[in-house]
Amino acid sequence: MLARLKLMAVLTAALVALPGGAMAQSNYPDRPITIVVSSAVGGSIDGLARQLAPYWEKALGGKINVENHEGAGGVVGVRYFLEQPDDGYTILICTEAHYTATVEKTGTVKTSDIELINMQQFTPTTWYVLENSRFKTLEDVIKEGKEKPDTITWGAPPTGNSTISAGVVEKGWGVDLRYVPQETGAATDTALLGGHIDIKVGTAGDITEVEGIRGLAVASKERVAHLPDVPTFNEVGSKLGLMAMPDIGTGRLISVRASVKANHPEIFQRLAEAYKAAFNDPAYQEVLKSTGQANSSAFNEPDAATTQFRELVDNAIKGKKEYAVSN
Amino acid sequence: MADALLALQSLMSFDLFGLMIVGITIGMIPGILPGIGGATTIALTLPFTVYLSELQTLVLLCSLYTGVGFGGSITSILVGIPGGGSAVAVMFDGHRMAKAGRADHALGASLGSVCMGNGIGALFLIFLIGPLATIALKFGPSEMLMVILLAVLMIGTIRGKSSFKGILTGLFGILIGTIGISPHGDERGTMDTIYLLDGFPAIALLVGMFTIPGMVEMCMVSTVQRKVHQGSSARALLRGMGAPLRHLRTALPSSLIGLWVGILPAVGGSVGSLLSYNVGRNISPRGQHFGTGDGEEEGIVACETANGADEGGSLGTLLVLGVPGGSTTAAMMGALMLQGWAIGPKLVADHWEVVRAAIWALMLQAILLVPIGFLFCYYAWRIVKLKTTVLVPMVGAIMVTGVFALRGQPLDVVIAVSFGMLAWLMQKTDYPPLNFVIGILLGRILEGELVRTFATFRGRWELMFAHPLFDLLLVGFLVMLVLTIRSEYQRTVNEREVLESLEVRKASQDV
Repeated sequence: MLARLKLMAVLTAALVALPGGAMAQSNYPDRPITIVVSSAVGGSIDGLARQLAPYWEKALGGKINVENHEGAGGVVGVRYFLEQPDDGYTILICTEAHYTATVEKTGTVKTSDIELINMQQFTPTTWYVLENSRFKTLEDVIKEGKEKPDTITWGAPPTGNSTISAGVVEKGWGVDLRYVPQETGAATDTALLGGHIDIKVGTAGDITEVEGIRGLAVASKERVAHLPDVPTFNEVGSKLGLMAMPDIGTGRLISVRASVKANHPEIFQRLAEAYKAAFNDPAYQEVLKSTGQANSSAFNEPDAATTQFRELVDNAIKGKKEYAVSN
Repeated sequence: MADALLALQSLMSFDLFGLMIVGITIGMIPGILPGIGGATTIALTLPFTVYLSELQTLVLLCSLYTGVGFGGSITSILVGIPGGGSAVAVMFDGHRMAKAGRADHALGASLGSVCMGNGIGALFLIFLIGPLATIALKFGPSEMLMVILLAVLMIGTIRGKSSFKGILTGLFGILIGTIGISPHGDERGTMDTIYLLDGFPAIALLVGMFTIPGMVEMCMVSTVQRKVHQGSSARALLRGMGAPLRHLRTALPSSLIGLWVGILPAVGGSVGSLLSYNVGRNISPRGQHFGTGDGEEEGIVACETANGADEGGSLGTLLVLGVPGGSTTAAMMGALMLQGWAIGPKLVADHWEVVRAAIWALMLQAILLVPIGFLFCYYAWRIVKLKTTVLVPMVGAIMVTGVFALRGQPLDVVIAVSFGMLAWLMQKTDYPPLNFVIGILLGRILEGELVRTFATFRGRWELMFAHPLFDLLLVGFLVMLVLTIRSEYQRTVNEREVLESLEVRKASQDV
């Protein structure tokens, strides 16, 4: 008797639960969504998440919370995100460097574990010098670097992939430079402004607005729209018959777990559409403009963004192995 | 001058004053909880700032910063548990005074010094913000190395019976601090765990290593205060607050050191307070007595004025260079980004009106902190009269909560408690845990600058000596080194004489 009652209870519960589950999806989102940010409060991707959240909320018609899970170069946040349920209520905002680090350190995480909603920002690796630097062009650096090896200093954090460009110039182009490792990108800016390093290896878009600093070269196929006077490495390299520089740069991505797209395509669709509406919201575009991110931000279709992201991470992992800079 | 009056006028509004009072008061509460520092407090406040204007946000965050800074000193003095790196130095004398029944006086001295430091910091910002930040840029890796080395000297002065053990413990701290990702990006001593990639959590270690031995010690007594307090506590507080004025010779240089270390990007508050404490020991006639016996109020003045001035300095760097000096200013930067500000060297030019008003607000906060802090301390100091049977479990619970809240990692609590027990053992065997903590706090930044100095000047050291700033700091370091060795030698000789005379007395009694 008791057993039958239990069975009935289970069956009834199952009956109730089934349509309930289906309804939850059509009602998506019926509870708050969490954005996991893999950096601390105040970091650039934290700013991106917090600025975007209200516009995305408006387009989606639900609440979005931002949570910071920083540490270990982004590995803590990415791993935390991948452990969350794949019901479409958790979104990851991280940099491609954070994801690359997670792939490298864990050995089990793959780029196919996530699907991108967008790579909202992509900025190619760029070399900067002070306005009054003795290096007018990249050719000047190559010339002096070959004449006086190990004297020109450059700075960048050792993690991340911007060091690859210097590795290519050193090993592929045979120009002996001197690496001064920096704590963060912001610390690299300070070191350049104070004249403690000759070259900052960073990305187009972060300090391009700063007075007293100018770009020397960008590591992309074509020149960057907002830096029309800065040549690509390959323009300079092909003239001198040097090996090609791979496309490298920093991306800031918005993604969900791959199983969300596979199992709940309608939720993924909903999120992506709402995101697109939020991104194109004139008020949000105004925010991007006033905070100096308009030039590097763009909307790409999710599939294209995912492909670009996977290539970027593969290039970074390969490049870091082949063109590791000497300390 | 008309400029300044205009800025002041924009501050004379009810809501801004309200925000300052709320910010300072609310800030003191997390400041008291060990582990929860300025960054966490500001992170928790972030969601509310979207409802505020730019100036309101900046004023609220600055007053939170002020409140948190002073709150950290309160627990450090009363129960001997510093809430963060910058509250370590005030413990040396403050907690000794609290144990000797002068908790209120010590709190007063700390409050007065922080206010004075805050005020001096703000004053300098108002008039010299531009040039100061530009000079800060001239500090390269070799100059930073010297500044940090000056603070490391502190390790040599903290010891039990043996200098050797003290220095050894400091070196051990530096060694443990190297665990994690090296300045070159390599992993060291992480045993392939993700947990150790960022190294041992310094704040969790610090909190654990002071709390556990502190709790054990408290279990041995019935109240923290060993001697019974005499007279009115309000009067003692007020008298304590006058301390920085009585010791201007220590207070002024300390404020300047704190301000300057605050301005330097990427050097935390612990460097400023430790450095100025050590300078104070050497320039004050009573320096020999700092951190001994029942504590010296001048020791509190030496580190707390620096802590107060540090705030103005690091704000200056954030606003002028757009570079955060520590985790607290990084969180503030996040709040400014949410207001739609582009962070970077153009920030001041873009938002000069707001920035100028906020700097004047700092000045007002230093004044407002006096009555608010006074009221707070008037009630808070009574903690030392609590029965330890009540206090010990409370402290334990707060420690676990604080350590866990910092990063949400349960393992941090285990680490904090384990290192706490280690610290107790170290104390029993005369290896000062304090040196271990200073080693961890300073070791990482010390190594970063060392690596950068070496990378920049390897094979061409003459370039390093060509920087006059470096030469000046090097001479300063050498002078401090000699002074410290001399005073430590003197102390050893004195102690030996006292011991010998005791033995002689004992021997004569035996006869």
